[in-house]
Amino acid sequence: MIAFSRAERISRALRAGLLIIAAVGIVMPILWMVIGSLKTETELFSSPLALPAAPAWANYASLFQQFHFGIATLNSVEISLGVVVISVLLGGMAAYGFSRYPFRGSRLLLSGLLITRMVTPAALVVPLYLIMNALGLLNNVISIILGVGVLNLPLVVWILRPFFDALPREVEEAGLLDGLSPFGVFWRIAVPLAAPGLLTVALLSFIAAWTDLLFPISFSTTVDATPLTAQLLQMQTGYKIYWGSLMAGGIYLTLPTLVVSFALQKYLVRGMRLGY
Amino acid sequence: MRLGIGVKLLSLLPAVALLATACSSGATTPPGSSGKVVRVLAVAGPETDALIKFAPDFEKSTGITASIEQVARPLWGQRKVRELIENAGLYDVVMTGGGDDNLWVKYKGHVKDLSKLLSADQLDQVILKDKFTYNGKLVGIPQYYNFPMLFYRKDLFNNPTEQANFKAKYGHDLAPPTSYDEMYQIAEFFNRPPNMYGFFVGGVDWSVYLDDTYFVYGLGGNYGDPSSNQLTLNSPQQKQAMNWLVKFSKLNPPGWQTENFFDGDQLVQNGKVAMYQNWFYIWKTFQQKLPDKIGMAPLAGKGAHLGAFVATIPDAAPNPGAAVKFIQWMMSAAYQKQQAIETGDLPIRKDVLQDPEVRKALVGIEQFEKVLPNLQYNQTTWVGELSAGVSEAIAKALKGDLSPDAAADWLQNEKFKGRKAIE
Amino acid sequence: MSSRRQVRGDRSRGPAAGFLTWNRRVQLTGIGLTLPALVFAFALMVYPVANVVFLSFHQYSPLRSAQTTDAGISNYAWLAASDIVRHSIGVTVVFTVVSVAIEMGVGIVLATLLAKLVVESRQLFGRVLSRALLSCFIVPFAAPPIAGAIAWKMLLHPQFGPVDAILRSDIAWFSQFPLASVIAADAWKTTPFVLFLLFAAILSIDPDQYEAARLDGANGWQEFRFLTLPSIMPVLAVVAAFRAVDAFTKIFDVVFVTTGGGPGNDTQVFPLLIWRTAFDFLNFGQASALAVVAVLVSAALGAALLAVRRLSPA
Repeated sequence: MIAFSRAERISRALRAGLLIIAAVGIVMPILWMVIGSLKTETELFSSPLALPAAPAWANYASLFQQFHFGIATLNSVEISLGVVVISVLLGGMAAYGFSRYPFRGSRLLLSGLLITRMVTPAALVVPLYLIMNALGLLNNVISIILGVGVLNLPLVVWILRPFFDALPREVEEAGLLDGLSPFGVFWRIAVPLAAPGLLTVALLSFIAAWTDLLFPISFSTTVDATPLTAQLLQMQTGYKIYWGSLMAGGIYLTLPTLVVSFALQKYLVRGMRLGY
Repeated sequence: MRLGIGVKLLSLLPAVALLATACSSGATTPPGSSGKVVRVLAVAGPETDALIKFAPDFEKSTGITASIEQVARPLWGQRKVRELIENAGLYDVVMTGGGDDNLWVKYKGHVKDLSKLLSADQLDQVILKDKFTYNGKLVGIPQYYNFPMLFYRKDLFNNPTEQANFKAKYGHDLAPPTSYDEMYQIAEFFNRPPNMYGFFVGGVDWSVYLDDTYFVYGLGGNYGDPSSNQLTLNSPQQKQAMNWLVKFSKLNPPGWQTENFFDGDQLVQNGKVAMYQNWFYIWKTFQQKLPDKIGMAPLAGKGAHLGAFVATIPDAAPNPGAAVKFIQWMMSAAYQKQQAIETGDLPIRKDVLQDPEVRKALVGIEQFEKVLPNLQYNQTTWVGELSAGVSEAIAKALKGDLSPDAAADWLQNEKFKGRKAIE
Repeated sequence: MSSRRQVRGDRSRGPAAGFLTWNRRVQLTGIGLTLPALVFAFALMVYPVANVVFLSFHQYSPLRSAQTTDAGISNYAWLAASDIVRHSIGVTVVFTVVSVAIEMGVGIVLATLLAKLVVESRQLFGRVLSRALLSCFIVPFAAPPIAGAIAWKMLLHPQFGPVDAILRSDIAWFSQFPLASVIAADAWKTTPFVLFLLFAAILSIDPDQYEAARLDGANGWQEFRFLTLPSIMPVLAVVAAFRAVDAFTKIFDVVFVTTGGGPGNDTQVFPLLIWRTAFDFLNFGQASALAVVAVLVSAALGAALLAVRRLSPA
C-alpha cells in the first residue's frame, strides 16, 4: 500500500485532470457532430456555440426522404455481413492451416502476409475496377465485398494464427484419435475454442466493411448498390453542402460501430494489440 | 467455450445472408422489363432541384416514374463516362455539362440522335440547338441556359460625385464597361482598400478556371481548335486573358486565393467588392436583397461561357422510349416556364422566352438576350484534366513564378505537350 | 516445430496410416485449409497487381477510346518527369512524418498518464474513471473515417465551427492550412490506436521496477525517461514503423472528404493522385504506372517492417 503525500495527491489530480481534458477533446468532434445534427441550418450559421433551440429531427428524417438512407443501410449491412463471413471463414481456415499444418512454403506466405497488408488500397482499386467491369459486377455490392474482403484478409489471418497457436493441442489430438478428420477437428474443436479470437476478427472486419469509402465510390454507380459511406458523400454536392443532413448522416453511420465497439471493447483492444 | 451447435447455426446465418446478397444485388431492377421507370443521371444543383420538384407533372401525364439521381459533382465525371462511353446501360437519360462536355459528347459519346426522336415543331422552338448538333446529329437538348454576366455597384455608378471624378480621371463616362480596358479602369477607380476592392476573382482552382474562361471567350479565344485538332493554350487571346486575370487579381480583397465565386457573392453583398463576373443565378438574390445597389450588364467581351445541363440518351439506355418522353416533358413550354420562374435561368424555347410572365420574373432578360448569340464552350474533349492544368498555370502566374505569357506557353508546350484538342 | 514432428512421428502407425504418410497428410491438410484464402487472395490481389503492371505499359483512356494500345514505358517516363507526382509524394511524406510524430507524442504521453492512473487506482472512483477514459479514447477508432472527417470539417468551418467561434476569427482552416488540418483530423483518428498499444506495453512493465525507482527517489519525469521509455522502446519502434507505413499508404478518406486534394494540389496525397488519375482523368495507363510504384513502395516498406519487427521482439 502506498501512502500518498500531499504533493503526490496534487500531481495525481493534475494528471487525472489532463487525462480528462484529453478525453473530452478526443470525444469533442463526435459530440459536436451530434449537437450540429440537431440544429437547423440557420441555427448552425447564426449561433455556432449554442445548443439547438429544439432538436431538428428533420435532419434525420431527410436522410431517408432525400438521401436514400433506407437502401443504403441495407447495402451497408449486406456488405458488412459478406465481408465478415468471408474473412472469418477463409481467414479462420487459413490461420488454422498455417498454425497446425505447416507446409512447404507456408513460412514464406506468412511473411508475405505482412507485405500484403501494406498494399495501397487505391492502387488495388484501379485494376479491380477494370476486372469488375469486365465481369459485369460493377454495380453490385458483391464487388465491394470482394474488394474490402481481400484487403481485410491478411490482417485476419495475422491475428488469428496466434490464437490457434495458443490452443492446447491435446483436445485436438484427442479429436483426431477419435477419428475426426482434420477439418472436423477445426470445425468442431478449434473454432469453438478460438471463439474469442474469431469474435475479435469479426468485429474488426465489420468495422472495416461498414466504414469503407474507397470501394463504394469506385465501384458503385447507382443508389441501389451504394452503401451509407458513399451516400454520405452525396450531401457534399460541390454546389451546396447540406450540413444538417450531413451531420445527421455522420452520426447515423457512426452509431453502429460505436455501439458495437463499446460493447465488445475488450475484443477491440485485443484486436488492436494483435494487429501489429 | 463449447458452442457446438450454436456456432454451426450462427455461421449458417451469415451464409444465408450472403446468398441473399448475391441474389438481390444482382438485380439492379432490370429496367427494360417495366417500361414504367425512367432513370435520369443528374448532378446536384438548383436546376436539378427544379426537375425533381416538377417531376410529378411528368409522372401524372405519362404514368412513368421519374427516378432522378443527384450525383455529387466530384463523382459525376466518372458516371458520365461509364454511361456514354462504356455503355453501362444503367440510365435512360444522362445530363451532361453543356459548356465543358459538349465537344466530348459530340465526338466521343455513344448517344442517340435526338433529331430523329423528337418532333420537328418541338425542335423548332429550341434556341441555339446547332450548338449541340454535329454532322447533322443532335446529341442532346439543353435543360436551361445560364452564363456569366457582369455585376456592379449601380448605386456608385449613379452617384454624381463618382461620375464626375471618374470622367475627370479617365476622360469618359462611368458606365458598364464594353472592353477590358474600361473594366480595368473602373476596377482601379473603385479599388479603395481596406473597405472596398475593385474586383473579385475566386482563387480556388475550379473557380479560377471559370474566370479564365470568361476572359478567354470574351477575347474570342478558346482552348482548342477542332479543325486543326491543336490546342490553343498560348494563343494571343489566351495570353491576354492570363494577363488580365493577373492584373485584376491585384485588385481583389485579401483571402481571395482560397475563395470561390460563392464567396464573391457574399463579398459583393457586403459591399466589399465593387464589381465582378459571375453566373447570373445570383441576379435573383441581388434583386431580392439589394435591388438598388447592384446592377447587371453583359460581360465586356465577345463571347460568354455557355452553362447548361444537356439531356442526352445513351445508346445503351434500357428504356429509350421513356427517355424520349422525359425529354419531351423537360423541353415542354409548361415545364420551361415553371423552371425559368423557379430558378431564374433562361428557358430554351423561343415562345417561353417571349412569355410576359417569364419576362416579368426574369428582370433584365433583355440583357440576357443580348448575350445568347455569343455563347461559347470548350473546344476540347478532355476538360476535366485540362481545367486542372489551366488552374495550375494560373496559380503559377498569380504567385509570380511565371509571367502570364510564360504560364500560357508552359501550358501549351510543356504541361500538355503533344496533346490534341480531340483525343 | 521440430518437437511437434517428434510427437507426431509415431502416428504413422496409427489410424492415420495408409498410403499417405502423416507428414504428407499434414501438408495436404494445410494446403487444403489455406487454399480457399490463397485462391481468393490470388484472384483479387495477385492477379490484379499483375494486371496493373501489364496495363502500366499500355494506354487505356475510356474518355478517348475504348481501345487499349501499347505505350511502352511512356507512362513511367511521364511519372518520372511529372511535377505533380513529385509534389504528391512530397506531400505524402510530410503528412506521414508529422502525423506519426503527433500520434506517437500524444499517444505516449496519454498512455503513460493513463497507465499510472490505472496502476495507482485503488478506490472505485479511480477504477471508474479509468474505464470511462478508456471508453472515451476508443471513440475515434470506432468512428468511421468519413464521419470523423466530416466532424472535423465542421469543427474547423470558418462560419459555424467552434474553433473559429472561440478564437473569434474566420480562418478557413481547410483552405488556408490544408495539410495541417488534414493532419489534425487524421491524427485524431489514429492516436487511440497508438495509445492503446503503448498503454498495454507500459502496463506489462514489472511493477517492482517502479517500486525500486520510487525507493531510489526518482520523480515522475525521471521515471518516464529512464524506466518507462527504455522498456517500451521495442514496442514504440514497431508501432511507429507500422503507423508510418499505414499513414503513407492508406491516407485517402480524410483528404477526399475534406479538401479533395486541394486547394490546387496542396493536399494531393499519393493514394488520392492514383485515384484521381484513374477515375477523374480516366487515364488508366498512367494510373497503373502510379499504382505499380505504390505497390513497390508498399513491398519495400513491408519488408522493412518485417525487419524492424524481427529486430525488436515485441
